Amino acid sequence: MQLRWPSAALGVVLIVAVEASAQPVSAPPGAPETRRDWNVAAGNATFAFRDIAITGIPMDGSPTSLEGGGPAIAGRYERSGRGRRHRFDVVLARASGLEYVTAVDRTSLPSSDHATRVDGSYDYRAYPARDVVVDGLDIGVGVNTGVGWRGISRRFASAIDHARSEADAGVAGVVAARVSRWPRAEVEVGWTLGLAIARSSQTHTGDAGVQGSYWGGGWRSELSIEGRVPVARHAHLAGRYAFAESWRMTSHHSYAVRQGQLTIGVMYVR
Amino acid sequence: MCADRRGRALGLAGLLLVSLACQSVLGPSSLEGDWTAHRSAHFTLQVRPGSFADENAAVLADVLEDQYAASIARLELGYAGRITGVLFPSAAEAGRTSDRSGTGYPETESFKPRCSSAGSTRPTAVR
Repeated sequence: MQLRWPSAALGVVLIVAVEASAQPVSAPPGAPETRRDWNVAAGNATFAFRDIAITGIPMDGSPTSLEGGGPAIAGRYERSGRGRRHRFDVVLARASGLEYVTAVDRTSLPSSDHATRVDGSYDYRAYPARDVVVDGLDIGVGVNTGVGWRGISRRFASAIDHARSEADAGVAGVVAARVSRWPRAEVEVGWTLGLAIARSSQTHTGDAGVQGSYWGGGWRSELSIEGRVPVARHAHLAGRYAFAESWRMTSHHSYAVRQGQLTIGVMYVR
Repeated sequence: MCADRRGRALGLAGLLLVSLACQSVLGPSSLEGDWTAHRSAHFTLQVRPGSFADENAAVLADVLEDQYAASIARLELGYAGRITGVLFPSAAEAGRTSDRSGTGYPETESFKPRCSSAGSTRPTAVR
């Protein structure tokens, strides 16, 4: 029952995406040719984790979140025209300085505790509605699919290490709006909602020792804003901010993860 | 033509707004309102100012510290973590239907019981 609303939203997004992908898309006169871009960017990423006791609506999440931040590196290959866009993204991020954060309190955790994630995704977007309301404003829809790995490593007392990791794969619908009123410079806002299947594992060293793996699944959403401006003939300065939330429900535990990411980099444009 | 374009834009903007609403509706909610914290050696108790838990935080912390030490010793645990308790004045505010209920969150070392003098003379259970 708790999956009814996101199912409906995802269904609408996917239907719109499929219909859009079936539309003939041709570049208008004067539009730039198909472009191939390579982008390397670095920045900061934040991480927040909460365990969930009840997965119904509303979810019953812990009043405490495990939060941290650290460096992020992102790489992208993109092939795009005015009507369609293909993107391949890779992101590596590590969060340290973890804290327990509540509404009125922060408690630092040992400096060795950290969280790491690696994400790879393919994103296809079509822009069937162009020059909407104002020139240069295009509305796009598409599909995003990807795989990822996320791990949390913690130490308790002197000799108890607890590591939790999750590998997932998912598919999502995308709704986007981009403005490209200036020569080859643009700003785009995108929203992604989809589902994922996950394999969660944990190891716990101590006197008894615990090890286990569980299948599960859940939802993920991401809101992003990104832009680029030309700084040389073949180089753009590109920036991206993304805020992602995901919820996972497995046989043994459920949790929510919130991730923020701000990266700035250089894009080689061919 | 122009009306058609505006209609499409409004439709897609509406879809985006509905989608954004899902994001806030589906996820776990955060604590809202006014809270204050009482800290002891191993516990942080968050309470509503002026509530029963606020007035009795020192006694509650003593009981919890005693239980903490006894559990560590009896179970021979190597645990030195810090535990956060958010003590709600009513079951309804904690999102529960029973006054004798609460929730534990082992991953983030927290618990969320109802704690008040009304309706019960015994400590609330934490499941």
